[in-house]
Amino acid sequence: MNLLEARQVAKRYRRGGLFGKRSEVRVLEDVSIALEEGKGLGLVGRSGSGKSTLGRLLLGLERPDEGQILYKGKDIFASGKEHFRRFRRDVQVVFQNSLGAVNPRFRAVDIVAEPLDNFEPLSAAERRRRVAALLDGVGLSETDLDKFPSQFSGGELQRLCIARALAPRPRVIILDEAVSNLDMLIQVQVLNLLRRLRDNSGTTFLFVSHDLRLVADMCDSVAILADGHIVERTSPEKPLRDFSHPAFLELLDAVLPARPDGSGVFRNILSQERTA
Amino acid sequence: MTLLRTLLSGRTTRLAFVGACTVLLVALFAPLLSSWDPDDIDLSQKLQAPTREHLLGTDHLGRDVLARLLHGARASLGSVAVIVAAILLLSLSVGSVAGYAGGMVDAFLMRLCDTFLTFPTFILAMFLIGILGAGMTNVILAIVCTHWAWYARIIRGLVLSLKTREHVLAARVAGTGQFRLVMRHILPGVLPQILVLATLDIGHMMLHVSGLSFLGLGVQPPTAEWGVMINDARQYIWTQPQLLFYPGLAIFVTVMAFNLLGDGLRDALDPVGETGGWGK
Amino acid sequence: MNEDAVLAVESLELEILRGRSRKVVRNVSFSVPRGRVTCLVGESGCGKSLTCLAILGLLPEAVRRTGGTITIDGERVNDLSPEHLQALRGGKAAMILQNPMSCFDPICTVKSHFLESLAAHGGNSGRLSPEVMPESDLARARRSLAEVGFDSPDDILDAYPFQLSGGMLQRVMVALALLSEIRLLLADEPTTDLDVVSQARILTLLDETRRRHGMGVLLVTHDIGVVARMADFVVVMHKGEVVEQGEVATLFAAPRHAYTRALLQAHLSLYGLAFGDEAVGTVSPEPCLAAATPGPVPEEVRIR
Repeated sequence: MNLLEARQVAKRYRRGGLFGKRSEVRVLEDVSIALEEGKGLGLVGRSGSGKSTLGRLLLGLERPDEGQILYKGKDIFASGKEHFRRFRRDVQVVFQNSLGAVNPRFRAVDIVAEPLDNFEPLSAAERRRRVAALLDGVGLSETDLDKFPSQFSGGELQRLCIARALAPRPRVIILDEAVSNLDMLIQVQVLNLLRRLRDNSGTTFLFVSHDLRLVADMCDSVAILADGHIVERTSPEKPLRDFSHPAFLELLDAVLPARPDGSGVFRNILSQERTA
Repeated sequence: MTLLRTLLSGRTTRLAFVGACTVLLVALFAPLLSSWDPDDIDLSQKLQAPTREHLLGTDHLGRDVLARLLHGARASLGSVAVIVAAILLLSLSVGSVAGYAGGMVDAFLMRLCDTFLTFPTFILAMFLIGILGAGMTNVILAIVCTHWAWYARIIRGLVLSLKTREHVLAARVAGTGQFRLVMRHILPGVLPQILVLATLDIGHMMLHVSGLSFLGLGVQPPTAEWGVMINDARQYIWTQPQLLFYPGLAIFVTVMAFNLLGDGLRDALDPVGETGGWGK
Repeated sequence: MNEDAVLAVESLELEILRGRSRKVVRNVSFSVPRGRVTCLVGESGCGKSLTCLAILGLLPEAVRRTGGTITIDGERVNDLSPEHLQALRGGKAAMILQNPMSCFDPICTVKSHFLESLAAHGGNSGRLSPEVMPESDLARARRSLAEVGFDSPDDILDAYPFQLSGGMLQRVMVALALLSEIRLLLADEPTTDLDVVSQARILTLLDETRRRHGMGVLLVTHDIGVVARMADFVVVMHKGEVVEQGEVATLFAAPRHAYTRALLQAHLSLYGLAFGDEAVGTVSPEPCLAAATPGPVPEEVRIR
């Protein structure tokens, strides 16, 4: 069942004001993707390909100029307040820049509890307990509850953002380049955490990234976005390693090697069978 | 509070803070501080030099100068406080709605602001007073009318830039409603800058109030107010220059204190990344 | 190797002087041979960026060099006067940074930036207006831009920084660096903010430029993939100290320190690989965290 879907969406931005030359930038054109429940979808493209815009549309943060965003089969902007509220609760996000994604004046406990305050108001004690449990799940401790964002490192802050996304027990989590900025060791920790989540909770994931390695490992299907169009996507007949579009090949060839001696070229690794 | 500590760390800011607090306290506790009624006319005592009874002497109507000075603080600062409060209330409402809503609402509100921005303060004041009569209320009204739009524009700009911040987007995804978004995520980023501007403007507004009162358009006799006191003292500039000097000094010190305090506030609140600046 | 080193850092010590002074870089020694790439790798807060800044005398206010020597192309640069250092930067050594946009004046065209660089390092312009560039300088600028891969250098010269993408700005930075015959190029996380394709292109450019001009390159990064792609030699830093250094092949085949091992394991797991060279599935081994947990980022250098 398609939980979250973009159907033939287009998004354009207009440049130039009342008195200037009007020009239109087409960021997304006739884009359709669907997130199947319990699966992971990777959305890969270069900077400027429109993937972040698509992410924002799927989160209901902006309206598409054409097409629809459907949650559980119904248009989120045309199915009433109750449906939109349900959508908000079930679809959460982790952004790339953890420092910018948290209010610097909020304590950790308030940051993580914000979705709870909106959807599941609890007593002060219960709220604190829930947040403590969430922090524990991402590898932070109870002593971090009352700290401010400036007291955390980048990796810890990103884990805090993941805890916040998990708080309302969402059905879908969108990760917008969520691990790009992290140091190597932290990145692996966070990826392991996400893998555990995927395996244990049946949550649906959307990974927006420009890193094919990440997506190849974590996602059941992949869509390549270039110049605002989906140029290639996984199907039963065409797994990732059989992709051939130039945009895909450009991304593939750009992946850095695993080893200095030429034995770790990702292209070759991908074409071998990856044990699932 | 760390803000207070930072504020008090520089010598000038410390002095300014003390000065501003003193003036505020004087304004609050004026009746307790002076033993004379500022409106008490006693022509037999007029234009006296400083004595033990009248520490700063008396004015041309025999009123105690010190008492008038202390109570004058009330009129001057009290009116400025009302003005600042009214301006902030009005500009924050209009500015945040315009910035957050965008589109037609924004366009309409900004055109409204533009209209108000075209009035020079004194001209509008004279106009209003001409129609409604002299008095402190009308002076306050005039000053609020001419200043709120400038603040509203700045607030709108700040709200616009904060609206697209990722922590606001994250809060939206977390289900936070529009009102709470503005109150908890956007305004706290706007307020520090606005407070700095308002503090720096206090001196300016005091001068307006005193200026209009000096012209006879504001506070009406017998109420004590520094501008009025300067006006009263004009005739005696050669014989009793101190009558001019005391209220003038009071205005100077107050304006200076708040200006320096505003500078200190701005330095202390140096935004660290919230509106795009790097901290020191 | 020491004879041929364009950069030699010996026993470098850096301290933060705010409140309680604290050593952020301790006893760091390494060198960059002529015509080779040395990668300085480590996680946030390990001191690699500060080391890079120290080499060119560009440390922030709060940080001081309290020990060690730095030698660029045989010349001791520790105690050079500010004018001397100025001549050095852009003359013999140049640096490109993580965020190229911050290195450009937003109200000046690229042409103005070239003019400024040329004026500082032996160009002919200097007193002319920014829009009038003498022929020889213009030719040099064009040549530099063409070398880094721009097909129409004039379009780039007339552009403002905000009109160019991150990848393009990085190229312009390399072009600016190539105006003089630099011996040493320092690159501090030059590809961290770029997408994977731009990253590959910039790294290829750096590689080719190095081959063509024979300069030594010190490349600071936290990405082991960059090390695998670019490095001849690797220096691994952790909590302000060098924990291991050596040739890249040796490091990958037989890392000695637990931290290096942890980094390599984490890196390989992204490809589904492990040390034993078998393709590992989706469950990656937890990296050795005890030895590898980076210390808390010192407050003064933490991004706020």
